[in-house]
Amino acid sequence: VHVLRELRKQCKILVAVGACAINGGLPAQRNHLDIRDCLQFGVPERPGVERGFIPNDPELPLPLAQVHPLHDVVKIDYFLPGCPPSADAIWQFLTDLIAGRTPRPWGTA
Amino acid sequence: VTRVEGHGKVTILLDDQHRVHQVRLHIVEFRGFERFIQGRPYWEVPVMVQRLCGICPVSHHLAASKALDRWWACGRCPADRRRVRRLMHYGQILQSHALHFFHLSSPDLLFGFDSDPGPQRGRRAGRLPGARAPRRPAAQVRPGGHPHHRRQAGPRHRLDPGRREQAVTPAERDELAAPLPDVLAWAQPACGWWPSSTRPTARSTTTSARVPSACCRWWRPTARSICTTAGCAPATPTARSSSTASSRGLPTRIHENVRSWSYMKFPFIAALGPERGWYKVGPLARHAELRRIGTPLAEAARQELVARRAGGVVHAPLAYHWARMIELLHAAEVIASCWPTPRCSATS
Repeated sequence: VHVLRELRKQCKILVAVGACAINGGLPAQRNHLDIRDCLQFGVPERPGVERGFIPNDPELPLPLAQVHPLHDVVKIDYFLPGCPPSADAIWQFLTDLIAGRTPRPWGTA
Repeated sequence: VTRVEGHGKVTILLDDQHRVHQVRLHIVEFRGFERFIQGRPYWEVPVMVQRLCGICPVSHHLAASKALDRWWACGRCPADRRRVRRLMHYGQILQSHALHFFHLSSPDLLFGFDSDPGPQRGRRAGRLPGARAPRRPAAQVRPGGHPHHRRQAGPRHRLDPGRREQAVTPAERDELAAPLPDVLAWAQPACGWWPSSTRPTARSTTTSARVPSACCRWWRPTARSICTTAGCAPATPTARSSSTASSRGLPTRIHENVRSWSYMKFPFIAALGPERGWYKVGPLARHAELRRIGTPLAEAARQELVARRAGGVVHAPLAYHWARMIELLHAAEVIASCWPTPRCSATS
């Protein structure tokens, strides 16, 4: 979240690329689960796993309780949907942007 | 494996005298696939796990498919299906290895390790007279693999459920098979490029960043191809292993460790313990334990690597390039061997 806010401050145009950025994508499947349950999965009950604890080093970003789309946090200017977005859609978007045009929705001439 | 995560960062910890105390690779992303696939309809899972990785979605897809084969107790899947899976997998290997070597790594090798790593280097690469030799085939080798898994897995390398059930038409087969002779012709000199270009500076390329460790790869006694999932063959840092474990036996052979500074778990060979039991995987690790590649051109190329390692295990990171090119050649041979048979286009 901190990095995203910093990015927004630095950017004239911020683009959400792909399903995870736009609506949380597959990782949002954990939103109905407890994050602690996910982090501990496979740690205590699986034989062979040692020192089963949840990683907590300050270098690691803490996962939020829920996965959010980017536009929940900052203003997003454009959205490129897909998992993954098609190469042609990315190409058309960047071509329009560099040419100073308003990017056309993918699929329109 | 109880956690699969990707994105990472490296921190270098210094002591009071500014000497390197420890280097850590942090896997900083946590998604929880292992947990949230629980309770989903089983047919969704192969499609979901493709999203684990943008580089090897086909590997995760096939791993999930094979796990479901076993869960269904359906025995060995039909020969046509195995061939289609092989085409997908080797198509992925071919294009991925070509991308890694020709597009991403070759500028380092062309200009030497002391050269300016700035953005100009990539542009200069295209202007060097010698640069054309390895880079020009690159643009042509990679598309040789792409269409194979694109045809089987959809335009975005993400398999649509049921798509593999569709027959390959004769026209599609001809289109996919057409570039293969060229790919084979380009892949062979690529195997020779590493040993020939590094010979004058062999010492630096064989000792630079060399860290001996155990190695692991999947293994099957009768397999003609390098990628199979019958068992796991660990090799110690100094010697090839004579013992293998079946995939069902892995939980007792491979254990996992947890550290405070990474979301990744740290698997290790239980018999060697957590400090010595960590292991390399990937092209060079596969070659550590490999006794034969079942396709003639790749086997001939492998023999040269075997001669260079003089009976030991190669640990030099730069030799990954060499092993990768041998696998690329092998992948092209496997794909070519799949296509002449009309059974690949059967409708069953």
